[in-house]
Amino acid sequence: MDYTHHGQKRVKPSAEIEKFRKEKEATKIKEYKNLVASCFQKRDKKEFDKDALALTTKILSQNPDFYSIWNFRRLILLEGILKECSEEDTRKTLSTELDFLQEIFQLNRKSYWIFNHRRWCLETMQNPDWNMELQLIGKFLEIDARNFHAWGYRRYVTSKLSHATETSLIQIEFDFTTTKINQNFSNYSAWHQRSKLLPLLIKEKNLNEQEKKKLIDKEFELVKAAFYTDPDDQSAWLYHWWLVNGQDSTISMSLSEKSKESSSILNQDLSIITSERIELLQHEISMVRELLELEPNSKWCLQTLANLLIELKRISETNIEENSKIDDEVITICDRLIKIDKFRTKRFEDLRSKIISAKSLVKPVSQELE
Amino acid sequence: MPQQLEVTEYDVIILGTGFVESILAGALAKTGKSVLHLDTNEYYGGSWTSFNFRELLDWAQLLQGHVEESSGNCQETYFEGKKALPTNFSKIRRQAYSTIEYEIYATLKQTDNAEESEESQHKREQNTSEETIHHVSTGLTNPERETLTTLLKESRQYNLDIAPKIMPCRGELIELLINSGVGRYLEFKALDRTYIYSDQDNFYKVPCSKEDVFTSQTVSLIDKRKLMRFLTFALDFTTSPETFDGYEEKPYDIFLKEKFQIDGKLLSAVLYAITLIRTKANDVNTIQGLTYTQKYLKSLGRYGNAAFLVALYGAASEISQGFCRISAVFGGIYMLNHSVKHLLIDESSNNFTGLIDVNGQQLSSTYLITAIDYIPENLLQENEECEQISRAIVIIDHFIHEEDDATLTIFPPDSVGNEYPISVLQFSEGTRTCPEDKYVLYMSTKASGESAKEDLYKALEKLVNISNNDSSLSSPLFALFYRHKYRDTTSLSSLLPNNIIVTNDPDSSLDFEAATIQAKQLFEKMYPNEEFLPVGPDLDDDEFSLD
Repeated sequence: MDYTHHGQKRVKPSAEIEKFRKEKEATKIKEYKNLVASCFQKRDKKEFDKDALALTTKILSQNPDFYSIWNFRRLILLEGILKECSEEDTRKTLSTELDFLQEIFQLNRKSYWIFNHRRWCLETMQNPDWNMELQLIGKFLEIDARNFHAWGYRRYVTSKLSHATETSLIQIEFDFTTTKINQNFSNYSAWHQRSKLLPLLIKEKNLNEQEKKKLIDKEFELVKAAFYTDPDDQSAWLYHWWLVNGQDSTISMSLSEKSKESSSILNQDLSIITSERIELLQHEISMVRELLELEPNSKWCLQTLANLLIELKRISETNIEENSKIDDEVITICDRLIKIDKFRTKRFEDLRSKIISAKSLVKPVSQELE
Repeated sequence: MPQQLEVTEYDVIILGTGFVESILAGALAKTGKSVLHLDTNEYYGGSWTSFNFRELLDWAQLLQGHVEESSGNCQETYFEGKKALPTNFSKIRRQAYSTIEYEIYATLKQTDNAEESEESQHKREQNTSEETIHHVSTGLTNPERETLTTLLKESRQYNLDIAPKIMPCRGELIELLINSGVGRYLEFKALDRTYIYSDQDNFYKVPCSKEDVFTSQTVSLIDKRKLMRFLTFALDFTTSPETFDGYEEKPYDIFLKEKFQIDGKLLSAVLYAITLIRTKANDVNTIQGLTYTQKYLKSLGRYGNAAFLVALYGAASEISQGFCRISAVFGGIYMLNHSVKHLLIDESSNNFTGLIDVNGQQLSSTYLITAIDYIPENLLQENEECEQISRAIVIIDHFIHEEDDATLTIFPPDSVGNEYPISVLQFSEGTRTCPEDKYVLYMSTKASGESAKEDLYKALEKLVNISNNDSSLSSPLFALFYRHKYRDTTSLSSLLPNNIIVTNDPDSSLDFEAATIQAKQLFEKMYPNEEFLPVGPDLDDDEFSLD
């Protein structure tokens, strides 16, 4: 990014310069409008020739998000230039397309349309060089590690590459997310990528229970370091919640309906899983409590504690007294969150009223049973 | 026939091409003042310069008094009714330096064909300042001579700063370099890492940024939180004055301990490696400390994950030349290797009116800006309190921590028997300081013991295999220890004419900030109505810039 203009006095351009600038701009606008008009004329006449292609090039170099022009460009290629073309010539033309795309990426590295056209080119050509694509997208993520277009494209490229070469890239990609998270852990895309890869990694390595636990414990350590560094950063808390609740069966930490099924497939003892999960929840609850002592007003801390407590109550068939204690604590947390997180007051009020009403329902029933 | 200047009257004459003088030269010429810039040395930079290896040896010899210098045998006299005070540059400069010692070490690698190398060594020696080499090589063993030969052979690949400094990514100097356009003449590298020494013979990477804190394996979770909480506060400390209320004048370390529970190793890191205080902790009060810390934190993230930049090819002399270039572009006249015989003072007004140069030509100006070395002896006063800085330039054969281009290592007070913090900058070939397979260590600390060597030797022993036969450490080839004074206005007599503007020596700080501020203040004192190096029209500016 260019900061060299920061901290400098803005010198107001003289009226003369301003007039000159406006005139120049007006000419540019006129030229652009003419270009677009003649391009659409070509499209209406179904002229899929080189001149049409050159027109789209000119327009897209100024405005890479003009999707009608992209669509026309694909038509020109398919119906005109590439028609009855040798395989070699097709390859050449599409390579030139890729070079063009790389050039206009400079204008916008977050353009859906450039990425879309790039995928189309690669899929239209024979044996595309996926390794080069991976390098390219690595560069993109060096420039901006939080560009989610680039992360999505990376997933696409790695799946293609791994398919083409019949080699797994899971570990490499998992390590890549570690690198990016270490550089700046406030990166939803990187954590998200990690959550996609972790179950695959466990599956691929065919880890036993102990190894799996070790790997997942390391993940918990990682987010914990993030919490202590910056408890206000949401991205690590979200990953943490995913770790706790990982819906994917391969993590088998969860006792949601889905994992109940899968665990029965794996023929595991359900009660062991429940007790493990309770242990996990209790462990995380005490972790959050420790942090809360240092950061009593951290809303993410409080919110996570409430979520963990509610989940603990849900899965552990504890006695009524325990449950009621948990309810009381969650209500206290809600009260604090209402004060701290002004933008979400209603949400916590809602949660609190739900707990209170559930509590009032439970009590008479239990008394009847006695 | 010596070169005579056609123009003999100037708005400002500047003596010395050191850092502060050069910035002033650029600023004054740019506002349209006529500037004559002279330097007795044949090189730019004055006491801020950088030398190749051979020049460094010559310089060390000169300061030790082993090389004869033509001393200004001038007497106070009268010239056209003005009092003519003799200058004595060489003598005064030499007095600023003391306890100069150097050592050349035998390299571990033995050459097979020793005879041949001795012969080629002989050849090379003839090409250099023979007096120096003769003196240096006397008493050396053969392996030591071999080291000397290697160093001399690669001499020109060294750019050794005699007052090495780095620059914060956000600070006075960097803004000045950007605004003045001088930055375009220079190349930079980021300072990769900071290390701190702890008493158990370990060096720790100092976690400075959020990323460092997150990934650091040596900082406990609790310390991560304490440190981050403090750093977040310090970045914006002026907005929460209640946090330091009552601590303003108290020592910074007390504030950190009491308000943020920062103690032990973490406290050392914050004080000496992040706040970079150069003195004892209790000499810095909370407001000063917070200001320094904030400056450091604001510097992070501007040019990557580094708070400092290193200028390539030697910092101060390159920067000085950049400003001199600006000055020359705007009409400043330059003469190096041009000494001054007398300064002329009008006795009735006690004003400086001009000077007599080496050719006997009279040159006059409204103002004289000068480094202290050019001031006549009777306008100086002995200052017992004058701060001194102990420095060392050490050439080694291997990096000390990791293979980085530029690192900073800090020894907190008392960690190796040192009274004040010791800083060690390590530069590699990547900073264009030395040849490919060598590294340079620049050590410095405020003077406390008998000599520069005494002040720095114990720290050097922890880094380099200098005496302890620890072969896991890198080996030294050469070490130069020296001490210099930091002379400022307290070294001047009250008789000094008002229109003589004096620049300070390089200070003990790691950066150029105080020196840059001095240049600006002196300019504003001289010409309060002129703008100091205003942003010029940027000719490359795109008219469709999004700015």
